[in-house]
Amino acid sequence: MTMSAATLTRSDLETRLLPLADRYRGRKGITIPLLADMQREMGYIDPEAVDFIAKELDIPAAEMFGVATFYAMFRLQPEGKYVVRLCRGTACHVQGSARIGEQLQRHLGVQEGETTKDGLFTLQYVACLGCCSLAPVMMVGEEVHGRLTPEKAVDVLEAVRASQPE
Amino acid sequence: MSDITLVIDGVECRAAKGDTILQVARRNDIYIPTLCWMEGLTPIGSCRMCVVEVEGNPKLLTACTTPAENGMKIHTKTEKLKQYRLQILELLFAGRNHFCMFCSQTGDCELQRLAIEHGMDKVRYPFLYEPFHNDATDPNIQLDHNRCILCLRCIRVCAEKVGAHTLDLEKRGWGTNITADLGKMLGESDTCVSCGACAQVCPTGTITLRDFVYRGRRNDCDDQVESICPLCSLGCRIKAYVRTGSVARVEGLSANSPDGGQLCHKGRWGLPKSTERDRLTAPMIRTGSSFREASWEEALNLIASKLGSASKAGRAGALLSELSTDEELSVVSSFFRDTMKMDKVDGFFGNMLRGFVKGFQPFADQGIRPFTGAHNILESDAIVVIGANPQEEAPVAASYIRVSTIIERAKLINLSAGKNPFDGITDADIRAALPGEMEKVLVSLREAVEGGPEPKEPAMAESARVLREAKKPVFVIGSSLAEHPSLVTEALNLAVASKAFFDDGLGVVPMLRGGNCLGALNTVIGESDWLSESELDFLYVLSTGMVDEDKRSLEAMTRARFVVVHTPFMVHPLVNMADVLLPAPAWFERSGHYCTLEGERRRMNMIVPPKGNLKGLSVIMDELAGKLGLELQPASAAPCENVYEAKSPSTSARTVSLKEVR
Repeated sequence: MTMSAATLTRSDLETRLLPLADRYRGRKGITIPLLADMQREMGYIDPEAVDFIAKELDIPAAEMFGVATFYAMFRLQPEGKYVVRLCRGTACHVQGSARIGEQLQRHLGVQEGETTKDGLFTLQYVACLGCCSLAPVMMVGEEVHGRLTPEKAVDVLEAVRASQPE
Repeated sequence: MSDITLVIDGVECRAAKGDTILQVARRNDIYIPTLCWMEGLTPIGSCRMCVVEVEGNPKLLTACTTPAENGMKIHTKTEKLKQYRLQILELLFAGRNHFCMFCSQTGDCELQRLAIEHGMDKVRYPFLYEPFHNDATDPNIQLDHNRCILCLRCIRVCAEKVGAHTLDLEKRGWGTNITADLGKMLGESDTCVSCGACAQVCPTGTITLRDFVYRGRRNDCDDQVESICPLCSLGCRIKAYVRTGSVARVEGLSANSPDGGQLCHKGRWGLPKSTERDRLTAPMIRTGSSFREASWEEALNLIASKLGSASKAGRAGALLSELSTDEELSVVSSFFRDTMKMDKVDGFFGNMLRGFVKGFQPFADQGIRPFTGAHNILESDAIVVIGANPQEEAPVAASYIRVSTIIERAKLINLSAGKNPFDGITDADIRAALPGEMEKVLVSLREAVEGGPEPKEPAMAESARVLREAKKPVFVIGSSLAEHPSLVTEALNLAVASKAFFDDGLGVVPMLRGGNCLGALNTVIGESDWLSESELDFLYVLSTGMVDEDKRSLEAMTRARFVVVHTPFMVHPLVNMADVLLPAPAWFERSGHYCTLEGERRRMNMIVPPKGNLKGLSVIMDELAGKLGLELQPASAAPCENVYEAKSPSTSARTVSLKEVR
C-alpha cells in the first residue's frame, strides 16, 4: 500500500484511528500490536498518528516511538511506489553488492530503509533473493535484475523513473 | 520484618522477603558497585556492574534485581567478579567518547570513579569512535549522546518521578540513543517541563546543565548545605553546593521522599540564577531620581520620623513577602501589629490567602483540616483539577498528578475556564467560566455524586461516575478560585461528598503560591484588602526579590508618599518605587522555618554567610521601636502553629450550604 506523506487532518486521524484506539482502550502491554495495526491502517507509522493515539490512550508518545524505532518491521515513512530490495546475501556480497548499495544511496539521496522525496523508491537491503547465480541481484517492485554493477543498477532505476506517466 | 537470613561475604544478614540482594548488602555496609541502579527508581539490572556470585547457582546475578532468599550464600568481591566488572567498564569506555579530559563532568563522573576503583589502566578493545550528535537545542540542558552509557536513569526519572516521559530510547544495538518525544531534539520537545531531573541523575557527562558546568565539581565544592526551596508552598528539600562563597549548584535532596529528589524549573534555575543578580549591600536614601548610600543610623532615623507621624494618622502600612521565614514574619508582625498597633499589615498574596481562608472557614469551624499534603496525590485514584495550573503554581504537584495518572492509572478530571493544563492525559475536560458557570458545574457534580440527577453532558456524567467510584479522590484547587471564596467552599463540598478523606485532612490541595503562605496566615495577613483602597503616607515592603510583584502591590507603592523597600536584590520596578532601600539577606543567606503545604515545618538553612552591610531583621525592628520611644513587644500570633489543626478526623466532615455561609 502506498500513500503520500501529506499532512493528515484531525478528522482523518479520528475516522481512521478512533475505532483502533477503542479496540485497545484500557488494556495493558498493547504497544506492539497497536503499532502493527496502525501500520496496517496507515501504511506506515506516522508521527502525528502516534501523537493522536498516545493522547487517546494515555501512553507516553516517547515510549511508542522507542518501540517503533526498535523493530525493523515498523516503517516511519510511507513506502515508495517501488520497493528496491538489494540482496546482501553471501554470493551477492562477494560480487560487490556493498558498492551497489553505496551507489544507490548516493544516487537516490536516501539511507537504507528510507524513501525518496518523490515517493517512488524505498531502498531496502535484504538477506537473499534466491537467485544467487545472477549475483549481484536486486528487485525493483516485482522485477528481478541480475549481474549488476553500480552503474547498471542506477540505469535500471532511471529507466523505471523515465517510464512513469507525467 | 527479619524473616529471612542470608550470608553476604561471610556476614550473616537478616532481611525481609522482597528485599533485593543489593538492599540487604547496603543495609549491612557491604559495598557492591552499581551504575544504572539509582535509589528511588525501578531497578533494571542493565549495566551488570552489580553482578554477584550465589553459591549453587552457575550464573552471575545482578544484585539490584535479584530478590534475597533465605539461606543464600553470596560473594560480592571475588576475582572472577572483578574481571567481569572491569570488562564491562572497558566495553563502556570503548563504545563512545569517554575521554575524561574533554568532559565537564570529569571528577564528578560515576563511570570514571568506577574505572579508577577497578584499576582500569587500559582498554583492551578497539574504540568505536562512532560520532553521535550533541543536542544543544535546549537553552538550559545539554544532551551529548557521545557520552551516554544507556543506563536509562534519565528515562526512568522522567517517567517515574516527573511523569513527563519526555525521554525514551530510539533504535537498537549500536545505534540506540536517548530521544525526546517522537525523535525530536530536546529543545523542541513539547512534553519536557525543563526540570533538569535528567541531568541530576546522569552518572556521566551526557546530560549537563549549562548553569552548573565548570562552576565547581561536586567533589571540589567547599560545602554542601541542606535547605529548602522557598518558591512555592511545597517547600522541596534542596542540597546546595558552595564554592568560593557562592552557590555553585542546586539539587533535589532525597530520592526516598515522594518527590524522588526532583526540583521544578523554578527551583532548579531560579535559585542558582538569583546568586548572580545585582545585590543591595548598604542602606540607600533617594535623592531626586537616584540613590545615595547612607548609614543605618541615618536611614532608620528617617524611617522612624516618617513612620511615627504616619501611624498616628492611621496612614502607615506594611507589606510582606510570603516567601519570608516564620521567624521573619513573627518579628515584623510583633513590631507593626503588637508594638505599633497598626492594623494595615498584609502579604503580597493577601487577597488569594483571604479567599482561601474564607472558603475554608465553614470546614475549619467543623474542626476539619481543610487540605492535605500534595504528595497524597500519588495515593489518589481520581484527581480533579479545578481552575488550577499546577505546572506554574506548584510544579512538583503537577509531577505528582502526571505520575499518578500515567503510571498508577488514576483518573484525571479538569475543570477550568481556560486551557486544560493536562491536555492529552485527562479523562474528562470541562470548560466553565468563573464564577457563575463553575459554581453550577461544582453543584451539579456534587448532587450527582450524592445520588441526585445524572448530568446530561457526557464529560459531566463521566466525571460524576469517576467520583462515585473513586476510593481516594483528591481535589487540586487553583489560586484563581480564591478570588471567589464561595467556589472554594463549593469545591470542598464536592470533596466531602466524594469522600476525599485523608489521614491528615480533607483531600484538597490548594495551590498557595508563596513558600510560607501558611505561616503568613496567622502573622501578617490582614482582615481586608486595605492595600487597594488606602492612601498611605508610609509603606514598608519586605521583599525576597524572588517573585515578581503583582499590579495591586505596585500600584499601592506608587500611591504611597514614602516607601521603604527592604530587599536583597536590586529588583526593578520595586527599587524604583522606594524612598529608602534597606539591604536584606538573600534566600541563601537566611535561615528559619517554613510552614509547608506538605504538613511539615521545614527548616531553611543558611548556605553562605550574608555579604555587605546587613542588619538582622529583629535588630532593625528593635532599633526602630527604640527611636519611636517604644519597646518591641513579643509577637501575639505564632506563625504556623495551629494553622488548620485537625480537631476531628476528615471523615466527620459534612457539606455546607452556601446560603448558610453567605
